[in-house]
Amino acid sequence: MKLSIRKINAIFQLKIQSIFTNMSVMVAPILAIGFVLIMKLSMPKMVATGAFLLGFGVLFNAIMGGIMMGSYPLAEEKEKNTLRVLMTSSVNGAEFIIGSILPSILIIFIINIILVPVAGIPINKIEWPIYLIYTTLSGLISILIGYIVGIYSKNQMQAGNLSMPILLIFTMTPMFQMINKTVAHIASFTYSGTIIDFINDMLLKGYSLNFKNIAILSVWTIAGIVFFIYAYTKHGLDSE
Amino acid sequence: MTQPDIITVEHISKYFKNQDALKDLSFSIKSGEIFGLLGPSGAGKTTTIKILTGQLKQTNGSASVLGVPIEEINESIYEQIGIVSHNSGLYDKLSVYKNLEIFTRILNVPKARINKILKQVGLLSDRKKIAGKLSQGMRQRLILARAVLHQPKVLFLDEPTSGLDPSTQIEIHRLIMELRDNGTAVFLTTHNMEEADKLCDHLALLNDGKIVETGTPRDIRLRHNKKKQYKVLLKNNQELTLTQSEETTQKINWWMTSNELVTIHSCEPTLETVFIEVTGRKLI
Ligand SMILES: Nc1ncnc2c1ncn2[C@@H]1O[C@H](COP(=O)(O)OP(=O)(O)O)[C@@H](O)[C@H]1O
Ligand SMILES: [Mg+2]
Repeated sequence: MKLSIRKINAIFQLKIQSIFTNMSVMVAPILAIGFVLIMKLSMPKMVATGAFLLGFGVLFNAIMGGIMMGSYPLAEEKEKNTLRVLMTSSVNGAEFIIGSILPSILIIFIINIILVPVAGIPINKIEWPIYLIYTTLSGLISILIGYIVGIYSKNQMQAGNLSMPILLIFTMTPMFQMINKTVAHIASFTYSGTIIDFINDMLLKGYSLNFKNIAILSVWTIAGIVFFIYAYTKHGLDSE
Repeated sequence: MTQPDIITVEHISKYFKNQDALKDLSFSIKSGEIFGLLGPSGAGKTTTIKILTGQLKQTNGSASVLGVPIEEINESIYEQIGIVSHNSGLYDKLSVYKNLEIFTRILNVPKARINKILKQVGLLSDRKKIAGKLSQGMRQRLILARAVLHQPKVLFLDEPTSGLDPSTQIEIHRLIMELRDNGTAVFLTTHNMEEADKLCDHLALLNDGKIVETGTPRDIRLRHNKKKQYKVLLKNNQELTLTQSEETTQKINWWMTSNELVTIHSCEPTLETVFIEVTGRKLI
């Protein structure tokens, strides 16, 4: 499949414009910052530790946000019959996906940085390269999950119904981890669990590179790409 | 002067799971020509357009668009064709201008073209309006503007005036004829026989997936003008329908000479009556 930078850029600009007109894209990142602020100001310091706040913020932003940014706009393009128009105006699937993923990743990336001071964490406490790579990867995995949901949805309502349970499972991982040891163990193999473990290790233990985390995130990233490509080649972006 | 064929269709058939949607269609379209596929709903018009634009695969037969066999159509052909269909959507939250701006980027068209085409479709003063707030007629004109933004060699129009008020229909007809006069090949589907008669240089009547009649609108009408008849109105308010004969010629001659004749019309069939005669069913 040929890729045209011009067409990717056209989709990129379209998606940037849509961000300001479609709140479903920005709702999770804005909530992430808002909730972290509110919790920091209202909860006792013992509970609302830096690790807790940052973990919560990243789950909201990268995971909930990523899934919503992947699923809703794709479903909207199908519902409004604009995806078909793009495809019959010489944009191919890969150009559409790359052009649409970039703005979402960019937002997730920037908000993940902003969340650090918002959670009241000193900047030198963060291992920045690893933090940014891990949280951006988790954003990418979430966006791919969102696209898979979008591929199987005909409209925004369906996308909402399909993504809600997935979104809840991954954003509530830390709560599952509190249930008992077995559930906590299972949850640590999810990519959201890995992000929480990593943030806790980094801020509470002083993090050292952990093979398990790398393995889990790699497997989820690859699985995300494989399942996405499977859904895409089987159904196309706009299945009839 | 003979123009090269822009679209050729040879023995195309399409079977869906439980029905034959198209049966052995063959026709060709030249540049600067409006070709119409006239048929009632369910005849197979949209299916034909989808096959010719690479959105659906035919079951049998072959076709080519701009010299490219339709099996080999990929996204690059869309740089040379424009499509208006029932499911051509707009970005409802963006302005009229921005809706076109996106496609100037995709199709590598100079921005200056946006205002030019908006003027042509009469939307220049509405360019800042949000697309979601346009009337149906304005929407359709914007969709048409977008389809011809890149000055395509072929334009596919799937019932472009269906559901529009008469004055917008006339407006859209004017635009289509302008495009044709500039050399665009237009493939138009319609279930409106007046529209077909007025616009199309060549027509195919489609019924149940089969072409039942082809030719220029006039050829088709005259081919079915089996008993030539004339309807006359005389001064004494008498209305008569007369069949072509020696006697009729003399009568008409006499009425004209004596200035008795008020009106005279030939009674060749309309496309609608031809369609009913050939298929036994009405359009729509
Ligand atoms: N995807 C499809 N699956 C099954 N049957 C279809 C499909 N698309 C169209 N048809 C059938 O093919 C016939 C022609 O449809 P269509 O081309 O949409 O007609 P028109 O555009 O002339 O109204 C109809 O009987 C319709 O029900
Ligand atoms: Mg149709």
